[in-house]
Amino acid sequence: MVKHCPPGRWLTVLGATLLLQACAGGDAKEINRNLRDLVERTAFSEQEKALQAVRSAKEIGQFFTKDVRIDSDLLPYPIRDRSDLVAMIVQIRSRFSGLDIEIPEKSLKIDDSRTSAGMSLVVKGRATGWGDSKTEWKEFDVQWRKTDDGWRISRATPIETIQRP
Amino acid sequence: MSLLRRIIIGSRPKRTFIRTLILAVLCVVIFRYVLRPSITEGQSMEPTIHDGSPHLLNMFAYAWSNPDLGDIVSIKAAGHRVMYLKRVLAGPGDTIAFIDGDLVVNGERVEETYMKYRDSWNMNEKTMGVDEYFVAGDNRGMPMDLHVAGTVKRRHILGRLLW
Repeated sequence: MVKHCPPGRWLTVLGATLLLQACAGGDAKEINRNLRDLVERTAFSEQEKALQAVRSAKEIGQFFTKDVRIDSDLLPYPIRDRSDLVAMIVQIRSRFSGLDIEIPEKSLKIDDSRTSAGMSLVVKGRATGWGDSKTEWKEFDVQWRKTDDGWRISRATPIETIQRP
Repeated sequence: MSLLRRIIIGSRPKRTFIRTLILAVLCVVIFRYVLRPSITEGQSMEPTIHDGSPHLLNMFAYAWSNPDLGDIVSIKAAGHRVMYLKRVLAGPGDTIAFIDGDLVVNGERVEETYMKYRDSWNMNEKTMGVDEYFVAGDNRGMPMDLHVAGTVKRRHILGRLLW
């Protein structure tokens, strides 16, 4: 049985759907823009002065939530909050004379609540220092959370397919 | 029809177009899903595989069978493009240990003729689970913690080195 539905109702449904899509699209755009900015700020091409390194690290820290957690065997210790992260960035940046980062693959899924999102991220990092360079590829499971300041990274976990003994 | 045109597209252009299309699709399918060309980066498989050398991976090798001991396999590393190349040293149910650089599988020392560089690796005996394999590179001239070696789940083994 087919019932006649007044056009007004259809238009309301269509409008709501478009609005929802626009909001979700806006979230995805903001997350992607934040990621792009984060990659740009993380990369550097010459040895920084100590004060500059601290300022850059603080700027990078703003892309993460205050309670950010990062577990990776590439890091000397696990990160449990933003201050841990900033300290780690200063330490790492002082070791290299250059860092270049690319994101060759990524996929984003925003939760229905639109307050959190999961992202699968492949990172290619090329660090140079003291005449040597090293390229690392790593896949991360990244969690984003919507805060009063916008979308921020709350957790990043590297995906390890080979478990070391 | 000029001779050149006839050589390139033949006397029946429609048929030539369909053949070319089929060939292109076949190439994409074969070189993307069956035989994947790859370039090695790093020295972890020296001297068997050299840094920068091109290779072909058979991504269908384990569609109906499981990896054998000694196989050089490709393992998912990051995303769809980056893979590890490692040698399978132990399979499901096996025990594995390293004693002063010697590989011991199921209590027996294994002679590894493919190896040239050997550091004195030590690892206590470890038993593999039902879907687990122990993999390592052939270049063991560095301390074990600087080498990517360890246990990998069967689902992360993608293919076998063909050439």
